Parts: sequence; C-alpha cells; structure tokens
Amino acid sequence: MTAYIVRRLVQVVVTIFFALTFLFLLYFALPGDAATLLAGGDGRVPDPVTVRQVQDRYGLDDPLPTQLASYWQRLVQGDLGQSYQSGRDVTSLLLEAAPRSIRLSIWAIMIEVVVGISVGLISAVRRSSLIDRLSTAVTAMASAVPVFVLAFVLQYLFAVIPEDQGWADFFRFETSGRGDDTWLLFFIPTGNTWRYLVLPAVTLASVSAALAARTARGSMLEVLGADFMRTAKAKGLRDREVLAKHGLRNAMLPVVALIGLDFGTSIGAAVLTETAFSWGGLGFYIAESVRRRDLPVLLGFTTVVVLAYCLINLLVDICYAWFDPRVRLRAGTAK
Amino acid sequence: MSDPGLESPPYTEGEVLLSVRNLRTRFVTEGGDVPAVNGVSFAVRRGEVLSVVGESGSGKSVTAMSILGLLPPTARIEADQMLWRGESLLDAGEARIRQVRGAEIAMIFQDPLSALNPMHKVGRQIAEMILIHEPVSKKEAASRAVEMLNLVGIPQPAKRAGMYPHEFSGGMRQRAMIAMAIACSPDLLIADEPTTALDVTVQAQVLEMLLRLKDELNSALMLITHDLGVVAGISDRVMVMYAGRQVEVGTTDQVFYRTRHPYTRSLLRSLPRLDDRGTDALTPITGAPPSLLRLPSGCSFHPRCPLVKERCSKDVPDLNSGGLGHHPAACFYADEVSGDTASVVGGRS
Repeated sequence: MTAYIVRRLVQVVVTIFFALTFLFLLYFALPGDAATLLAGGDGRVPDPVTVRQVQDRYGLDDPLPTQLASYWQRLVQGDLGQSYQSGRDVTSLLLEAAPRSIRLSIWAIMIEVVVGISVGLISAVRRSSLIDRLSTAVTAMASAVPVFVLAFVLQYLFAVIPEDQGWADFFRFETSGRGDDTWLLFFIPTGNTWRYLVLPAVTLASVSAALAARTARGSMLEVLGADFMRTAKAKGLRDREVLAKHGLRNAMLPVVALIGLDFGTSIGAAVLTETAFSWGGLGFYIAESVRRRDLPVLLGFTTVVVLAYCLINLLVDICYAWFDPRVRLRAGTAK
Repeated sequence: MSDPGLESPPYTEGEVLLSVRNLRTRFVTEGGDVPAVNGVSFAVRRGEVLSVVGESGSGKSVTAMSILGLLPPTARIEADQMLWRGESLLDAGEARIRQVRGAEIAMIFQDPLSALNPMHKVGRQIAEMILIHEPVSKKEAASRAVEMLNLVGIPQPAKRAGMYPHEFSGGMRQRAMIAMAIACSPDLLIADEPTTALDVTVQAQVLEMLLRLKDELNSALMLITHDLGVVAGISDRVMVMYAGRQVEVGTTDQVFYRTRHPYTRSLLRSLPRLDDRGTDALTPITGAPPSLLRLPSGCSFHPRCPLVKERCSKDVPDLNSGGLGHHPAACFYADEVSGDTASVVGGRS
C-alpha cells in the first residue's frame, strides 16, 4: 500500500510539471504582451522606455526556455513570485484565497453528497414513482444548464425578486462578496455570512449533485437486481436491512469514483461560480489573472489547484480500495 | 378435484413438508402479463430429493422463488394452496415469511460469485444467517460460521472465513453458499442449478455433499436443474416442466425408464449416452421454447412435438390426460411415447 501511494505521489509531481509547463507556454500564445500591460495597463499606449525597463526587470525578453527554467528554479525553492498587478506575494494571495475556496467547496461537496446521493437512492428504490420522475427531470436539467446561467437565474430568483418585492429579510440572499466573512471552526458561517454563502454553494454543487444523483440511481438500480440482494432476502433479512447492509455499499462504488473524477469539473465550475458571485477564492483569482495576464498569479494558483486535484484523486482511490475489497487486493499485489 | 401432481406416488413415507396446489405466477410487464408458472402442483416430503427439470424459461426457478416470495415486485403469485408443514404461506405475515426464509427453507443459488456479496467476508455472510434466526452473540455466530465451512469441506476454515468471495475458487464459493444455507439446519433446501457454474469434477462433489447434508439434517432437497444427468444420479422423484406447466411427474425410474411425455423423451434423447459408441448422432429438440407472451394453442409443446396430432393444437392437456394407471403425464397420447431412453441413467447408481 505504501509503495502504491509513493508511486502515485511521483505521478503527482510529473503531472504538475507538465501542467505548469504547458500553461506557461500557453500564456505566451495569448494575445497581449505582459510587458506592455505592466508598463501602462489596459487600453493605453505606454512609453517604450518604460516597456524596456519592465522587460529587463522581469526578464521578459529572455528566450522562453530561459524564462521557463528560471521560473522552475524559483518554484522549487518555494518562491511563487509577485503579482504583476498588485505586486503582492503570490503565496500571501494564495493563503488568503485558498480558505475561501475550501469553505465554498466543503459546502458544495456536502450538498452534492447529501442531496445528490439521497435523491438518487430514493428514486432508485421508488422507481417510476412521482419522486423518481421529478428528480430525473430536475437532475437532467441541472446537468444541462451551464453554471453561469444557473448562477444568474438563482441570483435573480432568490436575491433580485425578494429585494424588489420587499420580502422578509429571512428570504433574501446576497449575490456578491462574502458579507461579514466570519466563520466558526473554519467552515461554519456566522453573522450574515450564510446569506452570501447559500447561492454560490448551491450553484457550485448543482452540476455535481445532479451527476451524483443520476449515478447513485443507476448503480442502486443495478444493485437492486443483483443476485446477492436476493440471497440476502432469502436469508430472512427485512427489505430495509437488505438495502442498508448489502445494497448501499455496493451502490456507492461508482458514486465514489464519480466524485473523484468530478473534482476536475468542479474546479472549472468554481472559476465560473466564484466569478459570478465575486467570492474571491482561487477560481476568482485564476479568472482575474487570465484577464489581466498576471502570469505569476495564474501559475501559482494553478499549481495549487493541480496539486489539490491530484491529492484528492489519490484520496478517492484509497477510499475506493477501502470500499471495495477486490481493489484492495490489486493495489496490494502491484508493488 | 384430484390433483395428480400433488398426489403423485410418494417416494418416502416422510412428513409432507411443502404442498403446493395450482400455483400460478405471472409477471406484469408493459407487453402484457407473462404467465411464468401456470397451474403447478407438487409436494415435497421429508427425506426425499425432488428434481424440477426443464429448459430455461420453463418456470422451474420461478416456482421455487414463488414459494419464498423472492421474486421482483412485478410478480403476481396466486395458488389454491401453499402449505408449509400445514401452515399456509399465502396467509402468513411478512414476519413469519422471514422466519421461514433461511431458517426453515434455505436456498442455494446458481452462480455463487454473484449470489455472494462481494463486499463482505465469507465468514460474515454465513454468520449473518445465524444472527438473523438465532439469539446468539456475534462471536458465537462467527465461530459457528467457521464450523459450517469445515462441514462443507473447506480447508483451513478459520482463515477462509476471513476472505472475500473473489478469493475463493468456484467450487469453494458454492460450498460456502451451501454452508450458509445449512447454517440454521433448514427442513427444506432448494438448490437452483447449484452445479451449473462449476466444473464437472466439482459438480459431482457438490451434489454428493448436498445429498449427505440432506440426510444429516433430515431435511428434503428440491433440486432445480436443466441437467438430466444430475437428476438421474441423485433424485427420488422428478417433475418435468415446459413453458410454465408440469408435463410429467413421477419417480426417477418412472420418468427415465417409462417416459410418458414426448418432451421428456426428447430431452433424454438429446443427452449423450454413456454406452454410446459414437455412431449415433445426438437428437436435438427442434425449434425453441415458446415465448410465454404468445403460447401456442393447445399443448404448448405441439409445434416441436414429433408425435403431434390434430387434437394437440386444440385442447390443453393436463396431468390427467395421460390416462389412469400410470404416473401422471400431460399428453393425450402418452401411451404412444416409447420408453426407449433407459440407458441414459448411468450417472450414479
């Protein structure tokens, strides 16, 4: 098992290397020149002397491989550089933004797991019932609607309309920012923060929760027809016990796999969600850094996201092995 | 009304454990009702082995599942009578049925790899059976599970109990399945194609073990199979099914040596014979079993029957149609079916 984890960690390093190199090169394929932006900013024609100075200072006229090499050199030493825009250390920006994203993700994942899985399981067990039909329709819609559309629809329905109609305060949610931004035990919102949290969390969770619900439904239906479920019933177990003791764990396997795979999609969704709600997390900064051609921020934030993605996938695989004894054997023999 | 299926000559004088009269099971589908079992009657006595024989779709498994209510919710089960040791299973409550399942009537399924839960250790799955029905501690149940594995001839049972089904060989898995079934000493074992998924050499061992355990538990065995070779070796009585109906019921000798239904005869002729020198080709049954949604008129077997006559497509024969004085067969021309099938019975004697 240890050998397996070590091998996977090596893969993580390789993945990060390629992801960053690719992104680095991609950046220089973008229209717009970093030196011009730095010297003057958007929409103005800067003084060529200033542009030269900027190029010298940041090494922007060095050949690409040299720039890439020096970036890697600094990265290995833990130096992510400073933002072209604000001049702040990328590391300190990261430390500020990451907790916000993590909090939002925690809530989105909780919604995904609790709502998605239970809706899926209920529709499988109550197959063809009204609940099943309704949830199938809603989940199909949720997975089809783009995140940014959903974000604006939710903002309109739960923030704009209540505001216009003068509804009681309790029903009003906020569309932008983080409010008091105070938290208990890292992730429990206090003060008015929850009003700001609800809509982005629901938006971020929507696609994943819909997918989780559909997967849970499909795999539970499959498990319900499995031979071992009949065996369990033939033993004299109650239907409820058959479901809980024999069905659930088997049905959860594809869902666990999905949640891991889906993490990549959620990062994309997080960029959109955090932008739509001005949440100020990793996704928000990544979108901003692309728009402002802020290379150090873009690369630094991406490194963290890629790292998180790889580690979460590793975690999911370990969970998977814990869930399914058949996987455990393979991981054990593959030394 | 006399019911020849139910009253077919008993092989033993044992207590009548299960008696089923006019069982009708259908599945409600969008394409219409599928009559999977159509008026089946039989009895099982303590100590005997009753084999239920037929092709896929003949209703033999559905008959067994109907007894314990193990069919999916689309199934509708009706019967004039379904008595388990004198008690009507049709009128029994859910709680009572659950008691019967496993503790009094236990099932052994065809494919032990899919019939065992891949996520649970084998020992735990056996212990679960004991925990459901007996007031014992988990520890006690676990050690009983190891005992059971030992009883069915699994080497190193304590170590094996801690392993998962996928770590067992096919034969061992079926033994584990059997260990689970007998854990609460049931009165009736229903084995649904218990050897189909196994190698031939392992098949014989498993069958022998089933017979031995049946005697040790003083129970009865209802063996569902499509393999007449298996039937010949171990059963006392045979019930042949075709398209949801019984076509012939009798002692093993009667059905094999004095065959009275053309379908049974065709089945027997399609088997390789031990004394065959390789000169005669096997005789397959022409055609395919009918769709249960569109059963042929009259006798369901008439489109494939070598002895078919005009009446066969008009009237539906029942087990009385074969005439009195013989074992029951659902054929108007039972007397014309020759009994030239005897040499098949070479499996075990």
